[in-house]
Amino acid sequence: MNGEKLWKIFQQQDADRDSVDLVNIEPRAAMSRRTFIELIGFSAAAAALAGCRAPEQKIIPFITQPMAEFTPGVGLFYASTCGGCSASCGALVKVRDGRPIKLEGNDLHPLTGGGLCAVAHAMVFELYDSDRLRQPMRGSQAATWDEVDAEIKKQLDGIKQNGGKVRVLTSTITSPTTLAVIEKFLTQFTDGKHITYDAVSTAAIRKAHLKTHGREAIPSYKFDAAKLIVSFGADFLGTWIAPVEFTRGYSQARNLRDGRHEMSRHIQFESRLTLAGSNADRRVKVSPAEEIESLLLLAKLVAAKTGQQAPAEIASFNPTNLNPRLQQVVEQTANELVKLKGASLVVSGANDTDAQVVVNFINNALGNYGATVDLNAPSAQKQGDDEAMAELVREMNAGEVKALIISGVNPAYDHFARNEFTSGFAKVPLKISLNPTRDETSANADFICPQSHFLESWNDAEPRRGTFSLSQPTIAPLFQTRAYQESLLRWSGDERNFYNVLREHWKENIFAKDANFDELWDKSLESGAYTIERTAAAQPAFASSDVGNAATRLKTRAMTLAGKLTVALYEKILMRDGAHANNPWLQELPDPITKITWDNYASVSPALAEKLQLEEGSVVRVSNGATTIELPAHIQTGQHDDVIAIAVGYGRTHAGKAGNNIGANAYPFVSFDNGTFQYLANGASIEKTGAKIEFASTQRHHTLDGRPIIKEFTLAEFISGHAGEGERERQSQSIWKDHAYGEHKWGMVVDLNACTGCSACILSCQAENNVPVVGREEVRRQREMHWIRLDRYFEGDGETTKVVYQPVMCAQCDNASCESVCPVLATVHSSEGLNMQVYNRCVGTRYCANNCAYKVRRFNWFDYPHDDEIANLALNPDVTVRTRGVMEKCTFCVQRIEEKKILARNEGRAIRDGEIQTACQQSCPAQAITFGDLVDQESRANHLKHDERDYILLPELNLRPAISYLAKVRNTEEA
Amino acid sequence: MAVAVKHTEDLAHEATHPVVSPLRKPLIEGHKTYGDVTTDICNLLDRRAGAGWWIAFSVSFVLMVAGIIATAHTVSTGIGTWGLNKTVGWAFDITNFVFWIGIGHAGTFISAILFLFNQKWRTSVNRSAEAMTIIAVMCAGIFPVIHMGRPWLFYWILPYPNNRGSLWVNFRSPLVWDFFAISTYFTISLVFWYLGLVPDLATARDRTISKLRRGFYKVLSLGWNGSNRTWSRYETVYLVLAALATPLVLSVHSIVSFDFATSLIPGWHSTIFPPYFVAGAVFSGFAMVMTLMILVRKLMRLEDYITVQHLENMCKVTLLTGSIVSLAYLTEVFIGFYSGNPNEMFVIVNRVLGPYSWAYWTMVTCNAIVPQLFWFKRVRTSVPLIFVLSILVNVGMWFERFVIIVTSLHRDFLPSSWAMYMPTITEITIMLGSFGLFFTLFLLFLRIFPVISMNEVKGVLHYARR
Amino acid sequence: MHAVRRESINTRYTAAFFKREEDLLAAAVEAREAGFEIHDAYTPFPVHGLDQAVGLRRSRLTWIAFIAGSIGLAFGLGLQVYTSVYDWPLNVGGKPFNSFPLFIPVTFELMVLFSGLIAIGVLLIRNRLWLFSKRLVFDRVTDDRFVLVLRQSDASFDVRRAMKLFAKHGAIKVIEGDEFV
Repeated sequence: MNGEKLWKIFQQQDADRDSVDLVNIEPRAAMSRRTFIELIGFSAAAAALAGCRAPEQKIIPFITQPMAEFTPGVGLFYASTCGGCSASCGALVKVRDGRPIKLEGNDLHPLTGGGLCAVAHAMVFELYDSDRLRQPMRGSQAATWDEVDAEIKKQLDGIKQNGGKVRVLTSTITSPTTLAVIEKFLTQFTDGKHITYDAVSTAAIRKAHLKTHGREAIPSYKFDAAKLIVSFGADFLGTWIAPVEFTRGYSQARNLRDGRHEMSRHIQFESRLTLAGSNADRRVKVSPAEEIESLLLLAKLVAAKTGQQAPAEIASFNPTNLNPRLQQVVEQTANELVKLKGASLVVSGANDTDAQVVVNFINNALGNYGATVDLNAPSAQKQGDDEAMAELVREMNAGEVKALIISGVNPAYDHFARNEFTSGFAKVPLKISLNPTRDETSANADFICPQSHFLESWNDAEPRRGTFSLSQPTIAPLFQTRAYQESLLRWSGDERNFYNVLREHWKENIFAKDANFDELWDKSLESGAYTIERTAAAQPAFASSDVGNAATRLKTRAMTLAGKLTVALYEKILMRDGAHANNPWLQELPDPITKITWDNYASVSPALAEKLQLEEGSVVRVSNGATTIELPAHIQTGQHDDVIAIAVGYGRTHAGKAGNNIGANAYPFVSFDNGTFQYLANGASIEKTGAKIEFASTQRHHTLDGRPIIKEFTLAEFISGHAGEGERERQSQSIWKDHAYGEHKWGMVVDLNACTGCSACILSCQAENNVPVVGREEVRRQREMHWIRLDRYFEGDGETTKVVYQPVMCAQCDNASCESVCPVLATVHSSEGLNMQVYNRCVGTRYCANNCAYKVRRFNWFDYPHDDEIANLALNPDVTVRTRGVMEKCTFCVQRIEEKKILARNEGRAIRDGEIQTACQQSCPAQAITFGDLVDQESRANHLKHDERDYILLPELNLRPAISYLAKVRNTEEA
Repeated sequence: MAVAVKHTEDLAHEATHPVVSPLRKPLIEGHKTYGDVTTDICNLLDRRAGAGWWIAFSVSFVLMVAGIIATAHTVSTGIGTWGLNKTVGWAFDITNFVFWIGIGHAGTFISAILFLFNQKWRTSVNRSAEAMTIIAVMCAGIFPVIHMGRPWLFYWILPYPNNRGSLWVNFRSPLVWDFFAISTYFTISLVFWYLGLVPDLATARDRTISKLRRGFYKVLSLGWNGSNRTWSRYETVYLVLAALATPLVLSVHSIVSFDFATSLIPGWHSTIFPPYFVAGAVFSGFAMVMTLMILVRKLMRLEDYITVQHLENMCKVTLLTGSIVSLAYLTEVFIGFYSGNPNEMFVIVNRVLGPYSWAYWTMVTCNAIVPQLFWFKRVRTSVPLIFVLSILVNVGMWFERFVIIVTSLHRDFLPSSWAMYMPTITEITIMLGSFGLFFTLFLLFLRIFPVISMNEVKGVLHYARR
Repeated sequence: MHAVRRESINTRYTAAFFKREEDLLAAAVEAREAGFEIHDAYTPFPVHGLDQAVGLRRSRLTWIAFIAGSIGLAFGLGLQVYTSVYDWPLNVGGKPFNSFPLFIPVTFELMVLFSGLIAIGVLLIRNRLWLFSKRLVFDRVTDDRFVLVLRQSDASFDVRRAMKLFAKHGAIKVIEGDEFV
């Protein structure tokens, strides 16, 4: 069904406030069970939507509103906090006619600025996921809240009297108020405990700092302040702790626009190719064993060169697995680090306390604490306590736990020993799940009390000590769901709704006592963030007592790993830990490195593939004795031969329509060792099964073959002004007289040096422009519909694999080759330089796509499904839903351009530069994309077009694209 | 009409026995008289169809129906039922389109150009060659329509006043040129063919026994009575049409080649395309004529009219055009490297050695090597050999279009978008269906219309005399 | 032939059947020399030289075709220029509104189309060839007979002389009649 139509129906519903006439919207004649459920959900949604779904409590629109006051058909922005993962980035929610339809970055947020990641953009789709539970469940029966509340209370009272362990198991919670609520709930019981569990944990950092600094905390890392970043396998641009924040800092430190001529340097030691590694100035491919030894050697050298007192185990360390070349590389790294004492940053992605201890030792020796590593403003973004989780599983199996309440976790799927967990879980008399869906764990719970989506509920967050942000509900719950905090409040006999609890908590504990609460509250709601100024305190003292033992254990660990095949588990940028597996937008988003969608796979190095005669996609059996899974093999250049890299987050069985049985579950390879989850499974074996599958991959050729598509310079070349060479004299001639443009001529500049390949732009565009999901089969046929794609090219041999990214969308060429071939004038040029695609005129000859040099046009091969009424609520009413047989492509978000033009006209002023932001530009954490009016000589875009790094793609064709790129620069020489 | 006829007794007449000249070989064998010609050709129409015809017809009919089903499936479900993708937007559809247009070139070439060059031997083949042209153009015309994403809107290509304010078409687009070129070509060929038919229809009308057929021919023959005044104007117009059709033939395939030549895709963007395509078209057209003529003279026992000499002449044309095509292939390769343009060079290398090299080499074998056999008279005069070779030539010409379209598209400027193309069953069925349609219509033509232009054959019957 | 209609009331015609086009030609030539008025000749195929033999003017159809072609050319060019420059000019691929070189193909095709169709149209009208048209057809003239028809314009027409002439040229049959269409 056409999104527009649906939308109209809601409009009319807004007018007369009664429930939607289903006959109108439900095309199906026969009503199957499935459709029946959809209907219930839909009527709920519709009823909910009737009369602009403003929640009862007072919520405050974003501070700088595009519109004066609410107008039907005009978007409103509300500042909120993204609940996609525990990083809790600041976000703006675009609400259109009572429906949240898009998440955008919040420029006013102190940590993430305007940036958002791909996952955040997909969250809107999750809100409208028709697989969400629509009411509380008793086992597998639907129930009402009163029923479940009554029964749960009764049983809890039982426990209160007879005593017994009550456990609340949640994922990392950054919300101080929620933590208070949980605390309050647990105090009712003699033995109540809150356990935080992260499927992909960084507990080691916390434990390490407990050992070295006496504080169990994750410090905040300042990638913007670091002049030299040395990372041991930490994918801080992709998935590590707070990627958006880190990407922002990273790209700020490497920004070469506006005449800046210095950038930070980044060295990455890693065994598999991570997103961070792909952006490194120097990437050192090492085996897991070599990684450990390099770290130890680095510690030894840094200590020596800085004259630091190092424990004997480090001072006396002699690498046994490092070849001379690697030793030399480490040596150079050490020199560079020492040169930049206090302005460097060393991080490690290993969830191994010992490794983290050594990292702390190095950072301390370099005096980075207080400069680039800050323990006084610790991050609360990952609080998983692996030991506590292990203890819980023990307790449950021992039958000690009387009641277990889980929220936001799914151990029955993602716990390494999920059988132990489930067996223990079964022994718990009262099992309550607060998860929104009937996932692997909830399926076995006695009660499921589905929590509302974060876009439906109040919340707050303190991702970093002293930095607060609020979540506002932008739509009343679509279904009979309830904020999990409220459930806990009910069960602690507290009848207040969470909104009041939230306000009181902020009044008591967050705002200064003397402050004018309402004023501050409104301000914080408007801007979405509130920060407490901290007086600078000294960093806690460093204690080297544990470094020695750590080093010893690391040496032995290196020995055991050496020369063996190791399974390295990792999170994909899009799928993360698998919680959002049912989100087709995420499933279809190509992985930036492999460009594969709808699958996970066993990545092997080309050499290993050679040895096993593996081809791309031939299925292999990977085993480490305990665990065995079968996966298609992916041949990944730049990966070490000793490593098989497998992404977790796949192989869900209870995710929903889109997410079930995609890929295989790799969590069983995780082990619990030395107090933390280990994501390296050594002693692995791999064998070919003979089967072979075809990946649904969006890019099939991975090298440039010497084509001048991507310009790249070393920092030295750039400084000495080589970047501009050859570009200017390429000024194209034409036999035609050029057409004159009106008051605007839109153009764009993409900074390849800023782009990290995080792929947020792709989903931002998908959400903004109603880009359909086509499914695995169609991607296999290379028919994905994304309007902006991220081209990824590998350069160089396996030893020194360089990676470059290039976002490509329609370049709106002045001499557009697509226009002149269209027989029916379905694509023509606007007076503002836009290459317009007229969907209702298009007859679908595909000639334009054939004749497009950039291959950015996308064709509707079929009528892509729009029959899920709930999902359709996510459609952007400003953008047509294209029908079968027509061509479509990027339009520079023409609807956003028009919106701002109208606004400016109403206010009787000219459009301000930077006022119009395309979807891809808006939420780019690296601010790689600049859009603007080229007629305006002062515009930012115009300014960048005269940057010496500026170049256009395929200039020889004289297409005169409106998009140009800023050449990539690598800081190759040693600082 | 009131005619008072006064019969005079038949005056003595002697049976005419032609004196055969030692110089010229007769075009028609078996010492035919005018009457024989009329009888031979008209009897074909009255006689019942033989087993051969029925077998051929049922096979083609089944293919046609299969094609119709596949087409219906495509139109109802979407172009997604084909193997195309984001990079390769055209493949089988346009390949078949260009292929059939090419086939449709021999007819008019024979009836127009050879007419202007006063090639008498054309008379026995031009009728069916023209019919082939018209049918081939019909087959071709299907593809541009069904390859559209929304075929039910195909008429938007027409520049007609409309209520869209009023939105015209893009006269800069080669697809619009195609539309005009092909519809003009079809119309002109059709009237040209029909004009040639009128006197023969009159002949058929005046001697067929079946009432139904007489009525049919009576209507179509427009009351033709062989008046010399009519003949004289008729010949003038025939000449005019021939003079018009000649540049038209050349224009049509040149314009079809513009679809590619005016684009910017390496491997398409080439100035040699127009002559190269025209030569190729005549090449494949003549091959198809030979295939058909060999079938016709067997099926209809017309060995006396379509003689080995005719076939040999056509072999010579095939040899010539085939050599032109081979030259074009060499030129392409040469220019590819001579241009020094890396994209051009890559396309050539990718064609010759890339994943579709099998198609390229099939093309080279069938189009460049096979026709060279026609240098030998023994080959030119052996009917079975000609039959096989002519089919090979058309296989090659089909692959030529496939190679040009797919190998250029699938790997163009940005390696990130490179893709492979593989046809689906639907596409293959539609292609076979177009052959089904072609032969179905052609076989019907054989049964309904005089296969050989009697009036023209009579005109050259005594070619070898005097 | 309209003339024929008017005169036919008091006009008779003589038609001679021949077996070979040479005989017809010879007869025609001689008949004209002998002062007979040749009405028309009927043949199964165009016999070369017959036009001169019976004294036909050269057809003006070529001129008609030429004019028709010129009209087509003007129309084609006009249509394209009008629609793309005046009625609704659009910036297509940065090309000028009047992209003349790109208008040539369509112009050419329309020229050919007009010229061809109009020429044929005129031919059919001029020869009164249309569906269901009824005209006298001499026996076997569409097969293998060649007929020469003389008009007995006035009383001086000497049937005997004519018969002799026909016989000399091997006519196999002579018929006489009046007022045929």
